[in-house]
Amino acid sequence: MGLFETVQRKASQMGLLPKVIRLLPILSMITALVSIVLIVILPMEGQYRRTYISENALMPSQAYSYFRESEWNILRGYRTQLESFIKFPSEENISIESAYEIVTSQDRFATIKSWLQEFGVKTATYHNNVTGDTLYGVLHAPRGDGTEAMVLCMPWHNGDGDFNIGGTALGINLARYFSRWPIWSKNIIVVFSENPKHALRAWVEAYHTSLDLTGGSIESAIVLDFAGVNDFFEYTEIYYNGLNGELPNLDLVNIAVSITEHEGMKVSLHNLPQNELSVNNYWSRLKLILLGIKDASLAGVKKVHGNEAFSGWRIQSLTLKACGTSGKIDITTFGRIPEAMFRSVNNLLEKFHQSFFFYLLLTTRNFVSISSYLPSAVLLSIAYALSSLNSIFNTKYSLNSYIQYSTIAGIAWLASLVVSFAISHVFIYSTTKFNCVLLLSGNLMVLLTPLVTTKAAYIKEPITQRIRSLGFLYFSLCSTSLLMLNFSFAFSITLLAFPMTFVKNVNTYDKNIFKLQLKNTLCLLISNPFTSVLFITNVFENKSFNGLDVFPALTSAWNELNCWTWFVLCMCWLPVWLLTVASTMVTVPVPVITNDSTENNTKKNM
Amino acid sequence: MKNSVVSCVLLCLAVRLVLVLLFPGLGSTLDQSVEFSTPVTSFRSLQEGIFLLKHQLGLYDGGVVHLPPLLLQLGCFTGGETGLRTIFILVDCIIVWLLTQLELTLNGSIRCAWIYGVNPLTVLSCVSGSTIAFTYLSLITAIYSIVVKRNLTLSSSMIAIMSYLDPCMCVLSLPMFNFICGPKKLAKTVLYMVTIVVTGIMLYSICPFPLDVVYGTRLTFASVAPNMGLWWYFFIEMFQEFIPFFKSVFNLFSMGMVIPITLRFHDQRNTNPLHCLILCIGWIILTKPYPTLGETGVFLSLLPLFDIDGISILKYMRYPMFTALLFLHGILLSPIFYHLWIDLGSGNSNFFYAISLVYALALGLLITDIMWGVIRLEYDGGKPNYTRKLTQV
Repeated sequence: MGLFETVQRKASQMGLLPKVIRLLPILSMITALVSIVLIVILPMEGQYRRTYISENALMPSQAYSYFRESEWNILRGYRTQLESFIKFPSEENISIESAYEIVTSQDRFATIKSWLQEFGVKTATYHNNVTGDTLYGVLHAPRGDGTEAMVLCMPWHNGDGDFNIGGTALGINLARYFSRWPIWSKNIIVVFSENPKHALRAWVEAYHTSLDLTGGSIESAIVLDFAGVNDFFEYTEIYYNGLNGELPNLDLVNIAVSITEHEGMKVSLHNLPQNELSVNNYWSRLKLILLGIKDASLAGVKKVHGNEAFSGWRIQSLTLKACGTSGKIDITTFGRIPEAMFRSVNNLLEKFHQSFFFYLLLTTRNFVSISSYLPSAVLLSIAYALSSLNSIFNTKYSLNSYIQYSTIAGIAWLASLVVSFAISHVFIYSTTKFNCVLLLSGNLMVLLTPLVTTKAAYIKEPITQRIRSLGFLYFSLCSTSLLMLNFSFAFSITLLAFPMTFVKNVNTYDKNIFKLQLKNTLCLLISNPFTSVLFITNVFENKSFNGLDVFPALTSAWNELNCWTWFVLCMCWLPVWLLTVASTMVTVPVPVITNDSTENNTKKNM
Repeated sequence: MKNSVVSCVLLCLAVRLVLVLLFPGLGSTLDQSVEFSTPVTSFRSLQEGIFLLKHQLGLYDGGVVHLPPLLLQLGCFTGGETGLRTIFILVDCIIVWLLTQLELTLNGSIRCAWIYGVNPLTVLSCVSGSTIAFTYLSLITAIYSIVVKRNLTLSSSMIAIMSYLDPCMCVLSLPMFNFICGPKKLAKTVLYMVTIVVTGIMLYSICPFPLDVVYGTRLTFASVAPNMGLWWYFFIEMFQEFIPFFKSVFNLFSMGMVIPITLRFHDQRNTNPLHCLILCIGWIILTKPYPTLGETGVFLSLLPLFDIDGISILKYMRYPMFTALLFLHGILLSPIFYHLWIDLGSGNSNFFYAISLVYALALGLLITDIMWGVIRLEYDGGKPNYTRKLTQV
């Protein structure tokens, strides 16, 4: 405590505390800026690290991969059969986007099942009337006790909605190929779901709760996505973002990257186009980090690729997607990635635990771990706390008096929570276009209320200050709670909501009330949760979202995948926004209670 | 005043009833949480004990039940889970009533009772059905009977019951000595000690039980499970041969520190004995092997007692804002970090331990800050002078 006391004494001699308190608004802004700088410097040389395989047992690509051209004919055979289940509009047009299905899923499953049973895979069908049935098979491990499993998953439709013919054929062929190996010490489960979204999610949940045929705890899951009937492709895309901020263990991503590159393919992350794959400079790394933050924030809401379905069950999962239709790399090369990954995971004696669970990737081979990037989100959260303290301290109304106003602020906070809760639940039940328009216009009306009622309604000054400080404190607490669970989302929403803290009190005696009000309204317009989400998705994610599409996507992400992005928007951000709007009402001052002891005490507290 | 006492008790009742009735699953969820439930106080073990007792099976053979038998005997009279939950709510109402009486005698206001009634920590602890309710009922009754009724015998027997329910709290009998004053001080002291010992022996002899299972588990931290306290992490990390030594050190640290606090504040002219007692309660909650958030809730509810007779010790506090923020973060983040560790597997035990350290830091800062206030008041000779600047040497 000696050092602390010295510092404290020095500080009080210099009169530092009152100065700092006066500068709180600026300090808050500086803290936010520093947090952005902390992210921006991450791609600079020396700030990031090179990835490495942390678990020695994995040994990716150390064993020779035998899934080669000899398997190609078998794969073609399966694929030709699967092709007969769909029909292209004409002989010339064989683009997979325009194909349609001509047999029922039962017939398809019957055929696949007969194939699987030929080489000794135990099969079962999971029936679900809502999401469609899922066929799965368990290949029991010749070695080991069969308490652990690896999953190979082939959704019939991929994330884009195209037929995953190549992936399915490859999956069946791999199962056949795996069944001839005596080396497996973990069960292998092959899953054929209708889609990578709720059908797969429902199967994963059923696997852990109600299914009869199971193969033990799932260690890893690999989703194969090879749409179309072509033999060749250009590069491989790896999707790894799970729901609610979950990421697979970095070791799994590392072995996927290392195997793919070992087989001579380029790896793309976060939909990076092919021509940018070999670029590695500051800007490309910064771009990938920002894309990673965006994709993690919108995971489950935007296009789902299948690996998301395994989130929340301690399963490390990722999706391998073959991109492009021309190119020199053939489908058996793509098959060697899951083969080598399965052999790596098969070596594990413990669950994935060695490597990082919290990371941001800068390139396929570079990453930053949580200790490097977490401070920036913490600082943003602190910036809100500072804004909150600003409303408490930089006022003539000390916290110890005016209990009634603090109570009113508390009630306002509770009311805003109740309103937000109601809104979130109404939308969970129905998200029609009309509802969305209603929501946005309702928000707009709320936003304009202080502006319109400038001359008509006043509230007391201490109330607005208390309301704002409580709101910001709540938001700071929310973001702190969120940042370990979902760093990217916490960082994005705190950053997007930051203009809220620029809002200033408007008094009846202010000279230019209208100008102040206009400034406040502008700040609040850009920091509204719904408008900013709408803006972000329409600008940066315009391939997936048009106009109001994002709202149904948010609610269906909860209904189908249990992704709580929508609730965080409604329960963390919206109440604070409502409170901040309320605090921009024109205020009248109340008489100041002069209480010497109270005043002094407040100063001391600070 | 009568009306506000009634409304306070009714509010306490209403909050708990509404929670129990609206969210029937909340109780068992909280009982599974490490923040509100420990192996030695959980509702599950209470139910298990009652079941075993009713079916006349070996109560302590399974190693699941660590509650003293008289509490379980009492539980047998209630009809099932509904009855037990009702008892918990009633116990809280009685505590609130006792607090109102205590404060009306001292102060004329009933802030403690209000805080206890609506404090989320005490409310959730009550809903979780943690048996700490009975421990704190006897503690508050002991305080009530010595401060309001001036009844030393009742108070000391309540202290005995409290120690019977939770042996870690038995050292709280020491600061109770400070309450003994007036003529015949020696006789009263002897009476106090004799009553505690006799009541303790009586409680034990009504229904004997294996001491090592019931008390040994608590004192030696036999069931190493994560909780909000400082103990568990050390004992999952430590080599086997050092464990007994460090368990005794930890116990000594926890219980021994009460003696200097009691001695320092024993002079009634300078310090209210109640303040010394509350500080000791805080210390025990911070350092006991199986703490819960519910106990912290009780401690926080008692803080307005530092603000009596127009003399506010709380105003001497130097960093209440900082402590409050630490508390909020510690309490909010602990279930999240536990989730990361146990459910998602992406975190590990260090995460949860780190946040329980934050929480312990908050509690420790609060205790030292209040202690500073008490000493400052003593320095100012009982007349507060908040403007005078002082720093520790």
